[in-house]
Amino acid sequence: MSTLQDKYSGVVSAAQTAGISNLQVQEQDGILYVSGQASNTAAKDAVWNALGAVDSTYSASDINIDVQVAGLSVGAVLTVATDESNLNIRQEPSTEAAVVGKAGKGDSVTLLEQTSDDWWKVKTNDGQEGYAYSRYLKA
Amino acid sequence: MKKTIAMAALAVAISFGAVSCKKKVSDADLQTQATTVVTSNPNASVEVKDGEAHLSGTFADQASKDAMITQLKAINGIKSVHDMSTVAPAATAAAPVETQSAVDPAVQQKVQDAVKDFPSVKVEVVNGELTLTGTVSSADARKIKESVDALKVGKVNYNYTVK
Repeated sequence: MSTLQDKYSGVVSAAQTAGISNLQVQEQDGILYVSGQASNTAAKDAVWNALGAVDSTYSASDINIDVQVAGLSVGAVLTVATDESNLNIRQEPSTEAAVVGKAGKGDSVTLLEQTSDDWWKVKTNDGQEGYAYSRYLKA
Repeated sequence: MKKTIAMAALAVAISFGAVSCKKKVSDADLQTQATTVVTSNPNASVEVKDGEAHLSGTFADQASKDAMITQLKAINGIKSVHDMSTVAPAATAAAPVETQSAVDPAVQQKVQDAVKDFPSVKVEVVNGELTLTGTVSSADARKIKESVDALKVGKVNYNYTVK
């Protein structure tokens, strides 16, 4: 086991325990790449929590974690998980795009499409459709 | 005296002759020896026929497969080894991680999306490496890393002060 794999063995075992699918652990150019798909936010969080145990400031440059919540079904109910503010619902998947609606912290929205890793198309309770930054959506 | 030397020469000749006849070792004996070699890999098997070993099954890597073939060839009486075994596709031999350029405008936009909610964070590309500075909480740092790591831009310097 390499030094990097040893250093981050807790992250890898957390990913295994959380049932991350297509889990890949590769070392390249001095960075340990850990990637895979989580079936829900809790599984993804488990991996990141494990990183926190090694790197409490989440500033490490020698590990790259790309674990994305994937394979959610259309119509899945997601919870808005912002810190305190409202979540912007945008016309296009970019922060440059116009805000067409908002969803409050803790509100539920319905998933229409996992457009990309970072932007998901959702429908708010009042029927507004648009793109929300997936980091603030809990599945 | 001459007779003794002649006898000795004959003995040597016979013994050489005997060595050259070693291929007469029975298949059953060879099978036993070959099986002993192959038991080290439970996923492989060997069959000896007419002094030729037929190796089948799977190996974790090419090196262990080559090592076993060498061992089989070393058995007295094995004329050749027919390799019908395969090497399992190793997970470690996965394709290299595809990284994106930190200066790609599309990537830059995504980085801006990632740090939009953290106005104190500044993003620069220094020597081709994405470099983030500013002051953030540990929770914010985690959110930023979650989004930025997903972009896979190679080395990222998270140089901010984490409170």
